[in-house]
Amino acid sequence: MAEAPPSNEVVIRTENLSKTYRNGAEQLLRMPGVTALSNLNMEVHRGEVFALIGPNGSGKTTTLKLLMGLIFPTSGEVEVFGSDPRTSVDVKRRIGFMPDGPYFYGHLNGYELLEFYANLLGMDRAATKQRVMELLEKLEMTTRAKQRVRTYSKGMLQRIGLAHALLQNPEIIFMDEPTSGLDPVGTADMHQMVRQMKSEGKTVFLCSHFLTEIEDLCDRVILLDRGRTLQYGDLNSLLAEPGKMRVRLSAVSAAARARLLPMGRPLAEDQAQGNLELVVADGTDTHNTISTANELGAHLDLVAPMRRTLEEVFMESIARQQADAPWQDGDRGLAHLVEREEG
Amino acid sequence: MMGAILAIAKATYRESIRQRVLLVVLLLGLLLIGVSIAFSSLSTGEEFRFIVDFGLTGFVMVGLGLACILGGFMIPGEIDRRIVMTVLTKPVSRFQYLFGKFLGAALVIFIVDVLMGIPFIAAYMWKHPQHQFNPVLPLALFCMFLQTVVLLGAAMLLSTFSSSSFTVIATGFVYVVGSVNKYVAQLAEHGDSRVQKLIFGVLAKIVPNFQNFDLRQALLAEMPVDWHHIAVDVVGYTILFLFVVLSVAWLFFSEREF
Ligand SMILES: Nc1ncnc2c1ncn2[C@@H]1O[C@H](COP(=O)(O)OP(=O)(O)OP(=O)(O)O)[C@@H](O)[C@H]1O
Ligand SMILES: [Mg+2]
Repeated sequence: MAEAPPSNEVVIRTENLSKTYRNGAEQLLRMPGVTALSNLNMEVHRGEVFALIGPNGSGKTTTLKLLMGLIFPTSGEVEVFGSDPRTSVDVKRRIGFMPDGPYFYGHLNGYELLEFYANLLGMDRAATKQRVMELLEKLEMTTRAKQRVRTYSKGMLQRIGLAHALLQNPEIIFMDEPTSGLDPVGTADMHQMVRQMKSEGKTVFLCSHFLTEIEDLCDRVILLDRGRTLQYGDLNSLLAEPGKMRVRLSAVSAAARARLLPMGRPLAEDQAQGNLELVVADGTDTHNTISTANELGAHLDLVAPMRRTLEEVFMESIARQQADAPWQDGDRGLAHLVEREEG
Repeated sequence: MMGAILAIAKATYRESIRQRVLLVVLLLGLLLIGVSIAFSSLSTGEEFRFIVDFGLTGFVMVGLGLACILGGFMIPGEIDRRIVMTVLTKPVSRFQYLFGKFLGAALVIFIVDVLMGIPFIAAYMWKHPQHQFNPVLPLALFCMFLQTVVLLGAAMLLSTFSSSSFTVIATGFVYVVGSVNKYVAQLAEHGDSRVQKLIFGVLAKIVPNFQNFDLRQALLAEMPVDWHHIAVDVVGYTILFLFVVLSVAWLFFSEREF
């Protein structure tokens, strides 16, 4: 995904952004309410794919709504293209929003629905027709254009949701759980769309709890848990394990195995096939491992800087978070998420 | 600016006319007019009076129903279905959304009134002693339309900060108080206690006087139209009322979170 390198232009910025939901009574009585987001600080650059990750209820949708001016901060600041999304209507010309499980006027058909949103954008009849047909084509929805939205399947709704977000050819596209409820083919298509948008120079801001999806698609991430930021930064540096190499060997005999195993931390192993993968410190340790393997007739398949999976990063963050602020009963922390991802 | 408002109005209109409940209200209105024709022959001599009374009451009831349904459920329904999120993330201000919704609903009311008005006017001419058309008739219906739009505005304001059921009840209350506004004002004047005077006084001031919108007497007596009254107490009042009510609704709506 090296088509269009992200620039350093900041398109979204938040500063100590916090949101506490209070209903009327809670407001009157000054009760604490539900803190869905606390002190979020982030900058998103033009052209990158940025992801918010976290379990259910961690504040992802809340953040998106704050960025879109649908809800308002309890404290802190939010800027999109340098303006406050609450007051700036023009900013909305430059952004597109694909909500989670989009709901639309069900009695309209796909074409009419997109036509409605095009009218909101002030497109004239000819431009609307051209743009809508183009998007229906792109999202393979042309054959469904005359069908009522009420009768769409989840996957079709997601597609029409994306089409509606893309109508104004936005510079930033916000996607809330773009692949939730999609089958593997639909998921792959959606990923392809994200890659394409990135190659067109668009900034993609997405929320997800599918870790593998994030790992393949995103440049930078924020890891949220119960509204708090656990990790923020470049995905590669987040996953990198500095000072460690991964050494993958095959045709490892039993004798070689016995010598090699103590030299590092085993990452994967298949005794029957004679495969072994070790994590060793770089420099001398790596050199020694390779020469030992050579001596004992094992084949060297791969030597590469060690990268953790996002899942492992998650686990570590949890452990740290757990030490700082133990979970309450009934809290759905990150552990729950990782379990599900593994299962 | 106007484009987004009209697009929302059009969608509101399209969405509303597909709702079965509105069709039911329209059928009820038509039924009422039909019944008034059927029954008018029983009340000999008073036939004509009966048609006018019964028919206009039909307009009032249908109008009240429409104002409650459209004003009370239109925007809350879109908030529930999260449609509002997709609209407000387009370059549409909250004011444009609110006003577009209002215009769309007013258009629906207008169409229902026309659909009921045609048979009503026909029945009027049929039962009229000389089978004559009275130009006050469409004017009376137009005033009924304005009354409904005033109720719609009140309902939309209520729905921006309260639940749908409260909106319906409160809109009904506005209608009742508005219909007896004159008496409420009298209660305020001749009240025993200061509290009573204050409450009835405020009520009489903020709730519209729907007696002004009712041209029944002029119609039955076939009196000439008092244009000054129409311009000031009906049209002028409607514009002022809607301006205030929609402005306040906008203030509340600007603070809403979705
Ligand atoms: N309107 C609201 N009123 C009160 N609490 C709310 C409201 N919306 C969200 N919350 C609470 O805020 C927290 C964060 O919710 P949010 O929807 O942002 O989570 P999320 O990360 O998007 O979760 P999911 O993965 O389930 O979509 C949750 O505890 C939720 O219950
Ligand atoms: Mg969510």
